[in-house]
Amino acid sequence: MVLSVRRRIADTARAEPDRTALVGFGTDLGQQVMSWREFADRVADAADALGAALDRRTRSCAVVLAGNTLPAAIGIAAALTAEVPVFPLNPGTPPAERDALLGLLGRRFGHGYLMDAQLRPQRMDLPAGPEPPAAAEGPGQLNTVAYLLATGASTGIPKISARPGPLRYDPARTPSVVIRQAGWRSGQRQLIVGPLYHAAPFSAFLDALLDSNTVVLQPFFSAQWTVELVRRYAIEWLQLTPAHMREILRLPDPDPAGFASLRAMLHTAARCDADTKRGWIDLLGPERVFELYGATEGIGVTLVRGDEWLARPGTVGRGFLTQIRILDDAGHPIPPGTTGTVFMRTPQRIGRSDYVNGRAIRTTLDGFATVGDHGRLDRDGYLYLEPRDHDTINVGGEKVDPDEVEAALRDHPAVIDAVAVAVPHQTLGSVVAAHIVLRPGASVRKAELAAHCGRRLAGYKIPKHFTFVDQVPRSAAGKIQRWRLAPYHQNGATPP
Amino acid sequence: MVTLPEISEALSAHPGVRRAETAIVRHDDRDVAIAAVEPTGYVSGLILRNHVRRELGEDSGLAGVLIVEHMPMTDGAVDVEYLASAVAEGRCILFEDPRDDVERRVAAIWSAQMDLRSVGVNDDFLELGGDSLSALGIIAAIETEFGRPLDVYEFMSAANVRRLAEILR
Repeated sequence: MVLSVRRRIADTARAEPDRTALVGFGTDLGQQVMSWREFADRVADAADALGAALDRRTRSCAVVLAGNTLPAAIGIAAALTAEVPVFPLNPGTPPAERDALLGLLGRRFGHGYLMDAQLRPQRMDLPAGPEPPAAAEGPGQLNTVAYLLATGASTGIPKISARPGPLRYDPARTPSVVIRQAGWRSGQRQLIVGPLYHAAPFSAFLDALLDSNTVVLQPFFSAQWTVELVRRYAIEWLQLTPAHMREILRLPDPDPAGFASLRAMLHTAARCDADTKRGWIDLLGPERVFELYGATEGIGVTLVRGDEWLARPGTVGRGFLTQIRILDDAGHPIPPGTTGTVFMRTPQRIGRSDYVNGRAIRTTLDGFATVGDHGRLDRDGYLYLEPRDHDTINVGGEKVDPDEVEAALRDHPAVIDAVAVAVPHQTLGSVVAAHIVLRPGASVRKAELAAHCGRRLAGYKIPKHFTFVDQVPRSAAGKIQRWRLAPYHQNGATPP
Repeated sequence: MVTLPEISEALSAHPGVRRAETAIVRHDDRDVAIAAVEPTGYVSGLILRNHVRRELGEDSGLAGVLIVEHMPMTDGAVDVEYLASAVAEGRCILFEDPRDDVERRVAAIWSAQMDLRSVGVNDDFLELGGDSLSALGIIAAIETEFGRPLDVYEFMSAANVRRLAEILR
C-alpha cells in the first residue's frame, strides 16, 4: 500500500515509539538521541508550521541548512511531510555561490522558506528569474517536485536537478531494488557520513526515513570517529566516498573486528582507485563491498559487488534494471571493447530537460540518456569508465570546474590570466592548483590569492598550490592547453 | 478494416504525439503498416502501438511505430523509403506473435504481469513501460513456471520475450 510521508512516519512511531530514530551530535559534540515518537512529533509540528506560513499564491520551496544535525534531518522530513519541495543547502556555501543557487531556485519558485535551527520557517524572497514563476493552481499543484539537489555532474558549474514528487512510501519500491540488492535491510542501523546536501547521503536518508532505520548522523568526517561510531552503534549499513575510504585505510591498523556488525559498505560519487578498493575488500571481505555508479539525475545505475570486481578489476558493474548502450559521436552503437559515450535507459526515466536552469542532459529519441561519461562494455555487459573528456577536477568526490576557479582568480586586480589544474593528492585524489600571470609590476602574496578565492568559492574549490608564470599556454583559438601544465605538478609539488 | 488515416488519427489523439503519418512498407516480402510519429516529449513507439491496438482493436494491422525527430516527407507524403530503411535497420520494433510454446508461455507471463493485452516477442521491456515492480513480478513468475532461477541481470540483458525464451529453453 502506498503511503504519504506523514502517514509512514506516524505508522513507524506508533509501531516502535521508543526505538531510536536519530542519533546526532551538538556543537559541543554531546550525543543527542531521539526516539521515533519524539521525531514524529517534532516533524509533524514543523510541517504544520511550514504549511501555515506558506503563501499559496505562488510556488514555494523549503530551504534547509543541511549539515548533519538533528534540526536539518527534522527540517527535511517536515518539508517532505508538508509536501513542499525541499532544497538541502550546504551551510558552508559562500555568499556568491549561494546567490547563484538561490537564483536558480528563483527561476521556478516565487518564495523560499528557510527552516532555521528552531524549525521556524523564515520567508526569503528568491531572485526573480527571466520569467516569473507560475502561480500555484492550488495546494495540490505545489507538490510536483519532491526535492531539489545541487549537482555538478558534468561541468562543476552549480546546477539544480529536481525530483518529481511528492515523495511516497511504497513497500515494493522503498528503498529501490538496487539498494536492497546492496545489503540494505528494513529497520537497520545506518551511519550517514556524507553531508545531507549531497545526493547520495540525502537519498540514503530518505530511504532510512521511510524504511524505519535508526540513523546516526556524523556531523563532519574524521576517519577515526567514523570507525568508532560503526563499532559503538553496531552500524549495519554504511555509504562512503572513495575519499572517506582512503582516509580510513590510512589509520594505523584498521581492525576488521570493528566492522563485524556491518552488512554492507556501499561506495559512490567518484572513481575508486584499485588500491583503496582492494584495501576495503581485504578489510570487509568481497561480499560486503558494493559500488554504485549512477548520475544524480536518475538516468540509470550500475552495481558491482567485491567478488565481481576481483574477477574484473576496474569495472563499475552491470546495469541494474538499466540498459547500457555505448554510442559513437554520430550516435551509432559501437561493439563491446570499444570506448564511446555511455548512454543508459531505466524505468525511472527522466524528462528530456529535467533541470531547473534549463541545462538538458543529452537523450536519444528512444529514451537513452547520458551525462557525458565515456566508457566501454565487455562481452558480459560489465561497464568500464574512462576519464572524463572535459577538465573537471575531482576533489574527493566534489566536482570543480576550472573555469569557475579561473574566473575568480582573474577577478583579482593583480591577476591578468590564470589556469586551474588538478594535482594529485594522497587522500582526496586530487586538489586544485593555479598558474597565475600577474600584471606587469604587480605583486601579490599567495595567501592573499587564497583568501580572495575563499570569498568567492567553496573551500574545496580554492587552489592549494599557486605558481607564478610569465604566460599560460593557449592554443591558436585561445583555448587553454591545460595538458601543457600538468607535468609541473606530477608529484603535487610546486616547481622551483 | 481499419484504414491508414484512422491509425494516424488515433495516434494524433495521444497526448504524447505532435504529428503522425502511417504508410504501408514492404519488409521481408510482406506488407506492414508503419506509423512515423513526432513526439512532444519522450514516448516509446511500443506505448503508442499499444495505444492504437487498444483504441482500434488488436487487428488494427499496425505493426510498428517509428519515433522521429522530424517527419520524413517526400513530395507532400510521408517518405516510405525512409520508413522501409528504418525497419530494415531494426530501428522500429515490429509486432510478432510467439512462434512456439516457450515463447507463448513467456509472453503470457509478461502480459499478465504488465497488464497488457498482448506482447510481441521482439518488444523491449522498458519501451513497453516495464518498471522494477513488473520486472520482479515477471522474474518470480518465470522461476515458478520454468522451475529455474533467473536473476535480474539475465532478465534485463534479454530484454524481450524471444531472447528470454532462448535462455529458458
